[in-house]
Amino acid sequence: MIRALRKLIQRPVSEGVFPGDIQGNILQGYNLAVSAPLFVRFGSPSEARTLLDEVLPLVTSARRWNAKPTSTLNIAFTHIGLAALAVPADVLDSFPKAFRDGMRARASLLGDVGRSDPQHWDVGLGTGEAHALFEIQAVDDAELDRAVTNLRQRLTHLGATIVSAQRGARLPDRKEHFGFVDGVGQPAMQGTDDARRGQGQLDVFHQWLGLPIGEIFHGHVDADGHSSPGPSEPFTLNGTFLVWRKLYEDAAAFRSWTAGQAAQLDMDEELLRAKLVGRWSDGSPLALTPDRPDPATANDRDRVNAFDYSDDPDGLRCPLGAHIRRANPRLGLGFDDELSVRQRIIRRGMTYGEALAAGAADDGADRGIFFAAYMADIERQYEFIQAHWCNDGDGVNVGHDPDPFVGSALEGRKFTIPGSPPKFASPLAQTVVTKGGEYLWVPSMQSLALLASATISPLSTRPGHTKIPRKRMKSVRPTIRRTLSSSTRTSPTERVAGTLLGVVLAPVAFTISAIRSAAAVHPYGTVYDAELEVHPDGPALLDNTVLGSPGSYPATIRLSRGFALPRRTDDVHGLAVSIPDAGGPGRRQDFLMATVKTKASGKEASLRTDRYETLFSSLLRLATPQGAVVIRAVSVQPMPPDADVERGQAAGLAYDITATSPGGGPSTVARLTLGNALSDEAGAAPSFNVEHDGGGITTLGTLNVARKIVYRASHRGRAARHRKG
Amino acid sequence: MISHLSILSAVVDGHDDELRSFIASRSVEHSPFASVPGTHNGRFTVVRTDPLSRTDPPSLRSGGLPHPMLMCSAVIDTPPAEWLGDLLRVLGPDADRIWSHCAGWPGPESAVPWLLQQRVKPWLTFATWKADVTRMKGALELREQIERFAVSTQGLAAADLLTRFRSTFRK
Repeated sequence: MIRALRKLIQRPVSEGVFPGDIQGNILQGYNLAVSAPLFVRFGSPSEARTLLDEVLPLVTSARRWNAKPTSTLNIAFTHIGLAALAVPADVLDSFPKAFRDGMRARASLLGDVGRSDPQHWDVGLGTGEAHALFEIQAVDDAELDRAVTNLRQRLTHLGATIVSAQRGARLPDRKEHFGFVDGVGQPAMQGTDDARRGQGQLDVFHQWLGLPIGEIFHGHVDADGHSSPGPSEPFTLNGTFLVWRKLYEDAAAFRSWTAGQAAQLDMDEELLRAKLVGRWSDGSPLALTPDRPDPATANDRDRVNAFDYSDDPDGLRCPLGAHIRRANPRLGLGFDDELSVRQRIIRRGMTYGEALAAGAADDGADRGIFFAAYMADIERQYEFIQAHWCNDGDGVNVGHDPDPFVGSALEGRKFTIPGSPPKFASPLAQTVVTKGGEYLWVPSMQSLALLASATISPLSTRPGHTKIPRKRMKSVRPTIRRTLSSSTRTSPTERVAGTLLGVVLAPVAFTISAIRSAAAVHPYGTVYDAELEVHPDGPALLDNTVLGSPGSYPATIRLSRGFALPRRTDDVHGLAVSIPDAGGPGRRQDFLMATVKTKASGKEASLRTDRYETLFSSLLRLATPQGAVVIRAVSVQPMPPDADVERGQAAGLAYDITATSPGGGPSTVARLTLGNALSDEAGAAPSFNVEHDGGGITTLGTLNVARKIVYRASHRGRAARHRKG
Repeated sequence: MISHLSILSAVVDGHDDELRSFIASRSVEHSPFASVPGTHNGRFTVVRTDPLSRTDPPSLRSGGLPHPMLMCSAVIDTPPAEWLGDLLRVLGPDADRIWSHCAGWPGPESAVPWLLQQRVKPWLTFATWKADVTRMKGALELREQIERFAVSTQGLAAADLLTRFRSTFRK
């Protein structure tokens, strides 16, 4: 009970994602074909700042693309690189120790010994020469060459040198050089992805929620309910750390070793390889398809990661020591996800080098993976995974067995395949070798602009958030004009009050929904296709949100009756809007509104009515990056008099969407037009949820905190009734 | 009887970095605690005076200490005075190099009563391991031995496996 209450209280409240202030390729991968990671050493601080100032407009943020760009640019810095930019000592010292030390100094902890020892690393990688990583990705080699040439000219002109120029290219079918599809398992992030089993965070009701954004970005609520710590002002918000490693893959040695071991163990070679990885080569997981690869599962994004090992505690399907199970044990360590949820990372790697032809002998070519992982805390996340789960086996209950790929000191060690009897692949062979790497800080777009300016003040002399000169802000495209102010955050007091209120109301919602076998409020509704047309020139309040980004968005809406009272009785009606790709692919934004009337005091109250052609409002305040807002929908196009909304006859009904800031008047920002009613099957799929805030508009305040808890309780009650039958 | 021993000594202002470096240099290869009979685990910690790092949870960030402190803490199953005597013997000259950074250090000869005076009595002791270091090491060696046996005998028929097991583990 205490644990349940603690989890409820610590339940992270999504503070939203602001795509315009976050660098790209983190929350959503670019999936471009080729890349050129360029490790750069700056000239003088002033030259470096001028360089950053020049390239700022080229840097790619996480904003939604209208069309995929032909090339992208992103920038990250080493600690000595920040010093080279003359960042004040106070600020430099505020970065965590692991980042300050750098990857080379942490080699023994990471297990980079023997052939992976830093003394064997490539020139310029982890040698202390690199100040920054300029990574260009492109659709093809020609575009990459063009972008690299352009950047090289700027670098040369401004006194910078490239200390290591790498070149990556995706292999066909997203495979790496050992033949496995790579990058399949990624955390589902709160507010941007739909949470699926095994991919986010387990809540007190055993429902999977998205991983709090603070696990990756600084300044947001993390899985422990705290604001994730990053560097000090002025770099506190929306930055992240990047662990970049060049990992050589000895494809010939891997093939030879697995063939030999399979023969020795009298085992199918493909099965042995799958046991080592935890997935078949097509990506289908052993946890779901232990006997053979299943392309249908591999290609189904709803199923390919829908497992958590709770039903395979002994590793009979997926060995305890398999690579993917060690790197992300899900519920496999017991205690639900308590022992693994703080170690999630987002991986955006890319292969390099030509593939070794099937059956070919070793050609001596350099090939492998550029491992790139993003996280809020290098020591807690990446280093813990590498040191305690990959190099050592005790943490994942396999004794001395290291990870068969990225584990350290493999010589003489074994890989255990549980069974009766178990099988041991031994001795292991080192087929992956570290060839260099860096710990990097990926600043927000705003921090990047600040680094390009000459006036970064240390914390001790200039407390508070340093504002970027307005002239410079204009050069950051896209950007936000202000960071989160106090009015756009739910305060700790509101959070506690909302939690207490939610805990009180949750049993009521649970009981009603369990009895009704449907949601406690708005249990039945009619779902329609819709189109949201966002108008240009909206108020600045909506910058960096879906309602501030002009364009046409496919949407789904649901019209419902709040208390499911008889059809001829007045009821509070609901209008729920879901925009699936509001903030980019998969970043969904939902608005939940109800019919309202305006009281004499000017405040709104729920209205019982018999009409859908009326005024709907979010009632509770919402937050954009710039401030608080209330969203309303006003019907503008009457339906035919005999049309029955609840029988799917509302096609053509339209609403103007308005945004109102506290103390301000409403601005019409979009038009919502209903299409056809969806079939029962299609209409059953959407689950409208205020926690979907991928379009940059989040919930705010006490009642919203309570509402989330009540909704979850309602969901749980319904699920309990369904289980009972 | 397993008990917890915590000894908190004030470090002379300005000596904490040197002390921290010395302790770190002595604990890389072989911990002296491992050679003290009755030790389950043990550690030296130099506690900072500044409020805890901003990377720590907010609830831990307030406050600070007037001086840096050296904490010697251990879980043991021998009487504290006896254990401290053994620790001083194992540390040898290093004991002086550690506690001489602390205010009031009387020297190795009178160290045990001085250390016991600074003992902070615990309210509750929780021992993660019920075995001391010697037994833990023995258990780990046995695990390695079993692992080697399992690998070297995989595929053997049951009768052969039994014979090999007896010949290996009866030694």
